[in-house]
Amino acid sequence: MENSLKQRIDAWLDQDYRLVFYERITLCREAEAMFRHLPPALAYAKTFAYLLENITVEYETQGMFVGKVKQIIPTDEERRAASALYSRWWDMPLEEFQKTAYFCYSFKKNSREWLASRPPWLITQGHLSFQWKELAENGLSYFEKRAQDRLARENDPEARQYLEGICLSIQAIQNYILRYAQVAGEHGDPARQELLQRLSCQPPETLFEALQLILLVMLSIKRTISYDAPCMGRIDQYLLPFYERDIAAGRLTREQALSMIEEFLFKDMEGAALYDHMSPDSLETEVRLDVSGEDVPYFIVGGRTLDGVSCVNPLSHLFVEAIDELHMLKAPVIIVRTFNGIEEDFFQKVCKAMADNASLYVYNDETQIPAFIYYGIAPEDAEQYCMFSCNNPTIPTKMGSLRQIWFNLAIPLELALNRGVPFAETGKPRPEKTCEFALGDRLMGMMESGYYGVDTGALEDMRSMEDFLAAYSAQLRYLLAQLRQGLQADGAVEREANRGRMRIEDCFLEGTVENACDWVTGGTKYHQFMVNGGGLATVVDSLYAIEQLVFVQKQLTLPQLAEILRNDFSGQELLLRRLQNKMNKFGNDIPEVDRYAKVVVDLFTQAIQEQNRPEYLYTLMGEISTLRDFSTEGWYVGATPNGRKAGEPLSENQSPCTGADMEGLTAMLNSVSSIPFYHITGGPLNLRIHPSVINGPDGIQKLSALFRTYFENGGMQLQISVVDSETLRQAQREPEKYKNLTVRVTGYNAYFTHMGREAQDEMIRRTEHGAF
Amino acid sequence: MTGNIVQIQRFSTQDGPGIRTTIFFKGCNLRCAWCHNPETIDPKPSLGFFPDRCVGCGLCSQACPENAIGPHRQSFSPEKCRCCGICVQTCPENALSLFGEKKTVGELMALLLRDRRYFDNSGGGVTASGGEPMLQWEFIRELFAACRQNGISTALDTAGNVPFAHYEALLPLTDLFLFDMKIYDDAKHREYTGVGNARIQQNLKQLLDRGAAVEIRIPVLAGVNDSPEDMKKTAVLLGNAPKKVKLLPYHTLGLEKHLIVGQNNTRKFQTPEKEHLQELAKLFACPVEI
Repeated sequence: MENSLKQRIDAWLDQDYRLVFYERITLCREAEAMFRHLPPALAYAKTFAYLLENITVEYETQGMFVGKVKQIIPTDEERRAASALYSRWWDMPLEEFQKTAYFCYSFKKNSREWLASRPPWLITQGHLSFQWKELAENGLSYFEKRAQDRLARENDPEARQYLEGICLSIQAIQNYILRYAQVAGEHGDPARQELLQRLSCQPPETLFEALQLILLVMLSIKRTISYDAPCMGRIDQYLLPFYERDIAAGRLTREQALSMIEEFLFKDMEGAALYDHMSPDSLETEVRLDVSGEDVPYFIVGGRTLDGVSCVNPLSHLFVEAIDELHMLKAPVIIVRTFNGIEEDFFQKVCKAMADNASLYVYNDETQIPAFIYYGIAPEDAEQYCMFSCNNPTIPTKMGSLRQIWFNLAIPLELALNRGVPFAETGKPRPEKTCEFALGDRLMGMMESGYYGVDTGALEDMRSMEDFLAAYSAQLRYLLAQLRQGLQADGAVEREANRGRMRIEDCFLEGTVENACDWVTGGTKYHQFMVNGGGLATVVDSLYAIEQLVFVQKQLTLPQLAEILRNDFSGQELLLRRLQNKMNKFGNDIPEVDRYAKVVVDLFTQAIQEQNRPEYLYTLMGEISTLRDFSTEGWYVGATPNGRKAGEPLSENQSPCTGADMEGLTAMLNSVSSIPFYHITGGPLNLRIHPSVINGPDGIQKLSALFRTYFENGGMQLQISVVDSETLRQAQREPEKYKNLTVRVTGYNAYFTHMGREAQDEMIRRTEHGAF
Repeated sequence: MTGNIVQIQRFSTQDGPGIRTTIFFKGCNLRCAWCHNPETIDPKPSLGFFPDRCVGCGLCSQACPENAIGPHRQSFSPEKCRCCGICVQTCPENALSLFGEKKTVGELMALLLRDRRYFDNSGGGVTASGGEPMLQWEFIRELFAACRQNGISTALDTAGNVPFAHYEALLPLTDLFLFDMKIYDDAKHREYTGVGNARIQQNLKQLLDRGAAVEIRIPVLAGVNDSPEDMKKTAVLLGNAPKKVKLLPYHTLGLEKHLIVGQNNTRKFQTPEKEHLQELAKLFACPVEI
């Protein structure tokens, strides 16, 4: 890494945590007064333009690229003003929220809520992947002209407003780049002035120019209207022609390209938050606030074609090398698409970056491509798949998606054991509900409102494991049908509320302009709703325990077991301990246990597919993911037969239950690869690996062989933290000495010392896989 | 035929190349004062007790058909214990463990094959360790032959104190010998391990003469075998014949195990300094790993 970059990163890590991009908040308030009365698309576009016309153009002379927002430490008065504004904008009933903001999980109330201060009608969903290839090849004018041409053919007044909004928004970005050109001129840099003038409309010519254009487009939409967690697409593919041309012309060396990419990745990261945004308790830590609420971008590299031809190219190597060098940054995230037969030198480079705790993780084309096809994606589109945010899948430029539900797989288990009634509600009258998934749960994505199921009959009548699994399946199917019912109701409300609205992503997707229709209500080819199954290992271990206790050893009848669970093992401490310590568990490569992973996931994905029909706009897609919410999910589940008491955490993401895997990493990975991932489109497997595993001269080769084998065996995703428990405890004691210590939380890295205490303790409790 | 086995360790990365499964055989004919695996010494099965985990529920005492366990585990009568394992099954806290199980080649192969792809992709395989696995050389011959048939690479971790004919029988089936050289001086060797080293050195020489792939492992204990003079003699003896020499600094992780198997008079040694190990490494003509 260049020394100057290193120094800037060090300074950045030491920045005052109170610095905020404040002027955006004041400008939003002014814009609201001026434009709120306009039709929605125009109000949105004119507000966006107003922000970009008036925010300070921060012109830095250090570093290769330009583009930065102005940060200040707000006064108490300013904080209060923002807070009041926040309340005015966001304090509203859920029904109103649904119509204005469309979803709300990232706007939970917290001590920093005022930072998110934007009017709800200006909120954009982010996450999707733009037509980056077209931007690099054709420049911004291409998008403006596309919208203008379409506008010329449109007569419907609402559609015209939508297209006008798109034109205005693209022009706003172009003008913002021109403002930088002007300032470059004022700083006596005519070459940069000329370049930026050109980039405002014409396509970039070199790798450097392409990266500068992407940075300024991202800056303009991330910082102003919070384009969250953007998926940056397959960057090694769409930028390769630029790199090759530069190399062929002799105007760029490989080393220069590496430095350039490092600068680019840091620059894109510079304005983002330092705190662990997914951990509620981390909000209490004294770390730098985010400037504007956005989180990290996701860059995809590698992958193969449908025919199995490798897409790994020199740029794939450079991006992986760059993120490895930048391992002290928690973001951005590089996602590597691996496949059977991936080049060994490249894969080892990827493993080395992971071993260095760089912000990088791996997905397997061999399961991902079939999984997309399973959910109805055309093979040629599945081939282009990308991931964004916390392990969510997308088809770049063609898929509208963001909303999701964290589907608690342990709830149907409890319902199957209690004739469709939660343990805690046994004997009470069933409440009247129009849908099991309450509106708040649908908007937040968490199952928190007390779920009932169907009466699957008396437990006495379940004579075999098959009978019990049929009951579990019936509860799953009922809940997913309820979810679909809720989503269809939401769809009707949203279609109405969405009339005439546009969002920035509509400018850069396929289909939105052509159809003059925003992506939310149907502009794009695909629409996805993610159903993230959580607590898989809890359910797998529980089913195996039921099989053994009730149907094989016949120690208890099913009604007796259910009674013990309803009473939360009260007076049954010995049974509890035996279930915890004497029953085989998922994660030890025991086929008799692991087979339930396939049983559960097959039932889950079949129940999902039952709810996918041609008449539904949004396709449900199954994932195995809890993010950091496995503790929260546990609050809503009574005692489970695997020896878990009511309210205790569920199993985390795709991992075995905490401490259950005792036979070493190969055994654990064999168990996890028994999950039928070819029907699952995302979700993380977190591994915490003791540094001793990668020590020694061939440590990286061993790691690479381990991971390669996992993927050959049908594994889907891997992300690791290489750190021992003692170091983490030391970092808790002396945080000032460990400010660079990054750990992988779920789909993102966090600085360990910036996480809340609870999240830190969770990290320490994760099984540490050592070397022997 | 069955093997007498203490433990099977998957994802083993320290006992030979690549990712391995290490099988620890029970029974040893050395008595090293620093032994890290005391549970492997006695060929007879034995009961291990993890005092930290015991909650004193007394279920083991009730379950024991031999009345070998008093109301508290502390009043254990090893002479009465027949190692039937009933108490181990009973203990809800996993505070008891049985060391020593009979396994067939078929059972072991089924387990080994589950990691076959990891072995292939990493250049790993199976390692027979212990204890002294060569005390069960006939079983290992059968096991390694089955590994050969299934394309699993084999390594043998041995202290060298058995007739050479036994090595001879395994030579065609063993891809790598991990051979311990504990102390150069015969009298000192006898003092610290209970046996002299003449046969060990002779066996090593013959293995090398026969062209076997050999990795030498030297446990290094400060003040016992870490003087440059002693190490120099070992280095001269080895020359450049071994593939590699691995210096294994003494560690105290085995101490707790002595308590678990009921020994509480274990000697403690000093770990040599890292810099000192690096100096010692320079004495060898073949590659050295620390």
